[in-house]
Amino acid sequence: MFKRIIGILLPLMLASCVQVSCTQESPVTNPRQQEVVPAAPGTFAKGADVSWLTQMESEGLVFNNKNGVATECMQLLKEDCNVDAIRLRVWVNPTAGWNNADDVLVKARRAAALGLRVMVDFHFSDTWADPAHQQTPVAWADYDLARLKSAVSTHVSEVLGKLKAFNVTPEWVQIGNETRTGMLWPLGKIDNGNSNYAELTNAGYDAVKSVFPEAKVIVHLDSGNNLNLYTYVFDYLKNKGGKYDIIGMSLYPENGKSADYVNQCVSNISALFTKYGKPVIVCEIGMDHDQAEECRDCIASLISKGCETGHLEGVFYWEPQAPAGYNEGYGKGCFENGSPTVALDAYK
Amino acid sequence: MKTAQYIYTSLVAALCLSACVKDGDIITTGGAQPVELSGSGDVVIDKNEPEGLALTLNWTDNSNLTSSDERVQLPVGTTINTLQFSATADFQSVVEILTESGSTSMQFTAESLNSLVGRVGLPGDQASTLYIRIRSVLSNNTEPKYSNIYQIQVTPYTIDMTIGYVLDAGRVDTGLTLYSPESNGVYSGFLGVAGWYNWWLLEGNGVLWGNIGDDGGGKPFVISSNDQHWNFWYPGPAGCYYTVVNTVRQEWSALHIPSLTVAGDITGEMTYDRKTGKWTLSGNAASAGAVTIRISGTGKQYNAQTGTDDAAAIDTPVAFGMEDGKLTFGDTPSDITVTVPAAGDITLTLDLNDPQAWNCEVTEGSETPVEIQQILYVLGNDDTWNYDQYLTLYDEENLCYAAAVNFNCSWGYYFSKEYQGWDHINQDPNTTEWKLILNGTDDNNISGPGVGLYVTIASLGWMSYWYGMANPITSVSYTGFNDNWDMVEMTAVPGQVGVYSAQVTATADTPWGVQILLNGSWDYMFGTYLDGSLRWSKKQDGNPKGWEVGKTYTFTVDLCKCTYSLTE
Repeated sequence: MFKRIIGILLPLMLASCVQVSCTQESPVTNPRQQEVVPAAPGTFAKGADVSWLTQMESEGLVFNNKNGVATECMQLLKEDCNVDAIRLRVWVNPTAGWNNADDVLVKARRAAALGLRVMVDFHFSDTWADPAHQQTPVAWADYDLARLKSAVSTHVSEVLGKLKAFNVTPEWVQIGNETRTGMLWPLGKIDNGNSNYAELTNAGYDAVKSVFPEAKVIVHLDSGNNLNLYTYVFDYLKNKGGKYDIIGMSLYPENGKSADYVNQCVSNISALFTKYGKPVIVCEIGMDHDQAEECRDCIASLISKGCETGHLEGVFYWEPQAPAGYNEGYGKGCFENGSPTVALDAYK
Repeated sequence: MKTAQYIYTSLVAALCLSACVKDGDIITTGGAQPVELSGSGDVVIDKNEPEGLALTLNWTDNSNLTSSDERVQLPVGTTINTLQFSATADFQSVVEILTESGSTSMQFTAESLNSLVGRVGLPGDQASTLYIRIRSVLSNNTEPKYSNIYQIQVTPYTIDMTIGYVLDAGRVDTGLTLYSPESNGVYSGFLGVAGWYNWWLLEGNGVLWGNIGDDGGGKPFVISSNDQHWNFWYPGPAGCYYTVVNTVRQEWSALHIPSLTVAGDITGEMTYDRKTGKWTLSGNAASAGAVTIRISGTGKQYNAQTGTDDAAAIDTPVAFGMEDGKLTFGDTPSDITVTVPAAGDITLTLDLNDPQAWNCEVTEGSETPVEIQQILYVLGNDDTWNYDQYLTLYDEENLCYAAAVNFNCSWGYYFSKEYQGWDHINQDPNTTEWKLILNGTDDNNISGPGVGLYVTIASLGWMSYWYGMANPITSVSYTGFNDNWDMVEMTAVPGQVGVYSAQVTATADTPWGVQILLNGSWDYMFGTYLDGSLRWSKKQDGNPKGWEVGKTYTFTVDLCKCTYSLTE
């Protein structure tokens, strides 16, 4: 009887042992394939505009992390500085190629692969667009308003379409850069008294929404501490039916006066929300590279006080990786010898 | 019944085991996946924006592998993606660029793209199709997967292919050039070089030429531009070489010109200064005016057949002439007319620096170039004064000399330039720093560093001296034979100070030379040169002199004389 029981139990035990070994997890190899966890959309953006990055890399610039190890700049900004969003300018047909649509695509894909959120900043020019320069792209120079609106729409759709083709979804899209006087001069000047600028903005707005319905559209002006500039433009847009989701600001405080700039800017954020019902992102901020501690305190204060208003949704440092004097004298980066100064500690 | 039970037991076990094998133990991966390649489109490369962005390529990410068992994590970034560029759709001839692991894009500036398509073979100033694809593999022994072929029209700008740029061993432009007047890939000119000088030739289209390296040891005078090539190196004799690099026949040659004789209205032997690339002859002219001369000599031709073997080098007549007012070079001299500016001391100068315009002229005054001496004598280090010890030149730019010197001196020591010239180069009395002074006296002799074998260094460029190590040499090792970089202790040869030996068997090439390490440190070393010499802190790539695979040698180094030998 005992032998019979053993004769039945033995195979069952054996089968059980084999099954146990079968269900055991196989060894895991290293390094593992890791899913990058993207920064959560809609949260406060601690951003950096690194549009110069690929050009800098082609020139041989190298960036070093806090341990002095050469590291890809966006990865460094993410890991060492808590940056979670990247802003990228796009020019229509730049002479030197950098910041064209394909260049933007390269940087945007790299940012997205790191889980960073992306803001696309359309300048609607072949070169820098700012309060004093809103030069219409050469290829569009003799366009009338209808063709210009169409060109804006096509350009936005094409650029964003490239991103979409590679599964990059920008969270924000900026229509025009520092457009306190309008854009695409001369037709798009605000002081023409017509609705051209608003119509051009709307052409861009609609194009954005057609490709990325969830993307938030920003209209961006300089001098975030100057309320009059903002009321001038946003009153105009309100009157002319201009569409946007977020007000964008630049803020470049003077040394020793950053606290005043911050206080004025925060006051403006509240006032603008009250008047237009739109939140604000400081799309560009920067201070002289040798004022890193004041810059850090300035950004920290802006984030703290801005968030208290409930209407500040993010801050982007403009070209933080630029070494002092880059591009014929730009001095408001916050890297020294390829590594971040304390300025971006404000994001920690 | 018992038999049935055993069969039953075995069946259950076998079923369970076979199920187990099928389910989990054999895990497979889908391997490298082909990518989808796209780019920024046709390009007319703008010569005026060399640093501008000309082409952007994007491809889909294939860095994450798939596995047959999703419970198993696979390593990241193992896929090797190589961009291939070709002028033809069949990719029969390609230029390859290995992409960075995990990258999904590559950008080219105008300059880099122009250089790339030049290597691909696209002609300048006209639109041609450039075919691009990506080859993906998991490892070199796996079947490659290819992306789609992305093709664009590229219009490169014409590159000046008349100039070949001479780069040093570190690939830094020396400012020297060779000339290809017909842009046909054959570059020639005169170069003044040190013995065994290492160099590269860079063409205008970015192609870099050196000695072929396919045989694992480099082959002199057979050239290559592929990734495995070595740099060029000259034979042992220093001096003036008429150098021809033929990129079409893929070989180069070096015609060493040890001397040139001037005949005619001016006569004499010219002296070559390789620093300036000029031959000169000083003399005296009775009157001013046009004179006729002939310049000729006999050179030693080194090429792919002779290698760097001095004995095999071919005696070759060399001569200069003049046609249409321009200097020519060949094997038969012809009349050269030069103008003597004034009676008195004159210098005839043959300037061979610019391969597009050699020049011969007579100037007023006398110039005699100073030849760089290869050794610097040490006297008094062991209380003897007999010119049998010396330092060896290792840094020509700064006239630095070094060797191991055995010290046990009572009256200090000094350096001397000329054999038995008794000139004193010793401590500068005007400073307490270790500075040298020319024409010193015995009162300024340098105190020895102690008793023992010290690496002693003197620079006549900086006029200073120092010791390579604070301590005397107590042990000597070698490393690098057979490309093996383990440290192997050498034995001091009795009765011969500074001489050490060891047994070594040649089982493979020694592509990077050999280092002689002192006191077990990688910081203090002599290195082998191909001519059988040692140099402080330097070495020359390539098999040491006498190295033949399959033989066993006694390897002997003399750190005082800076020589080595391999004796079977």
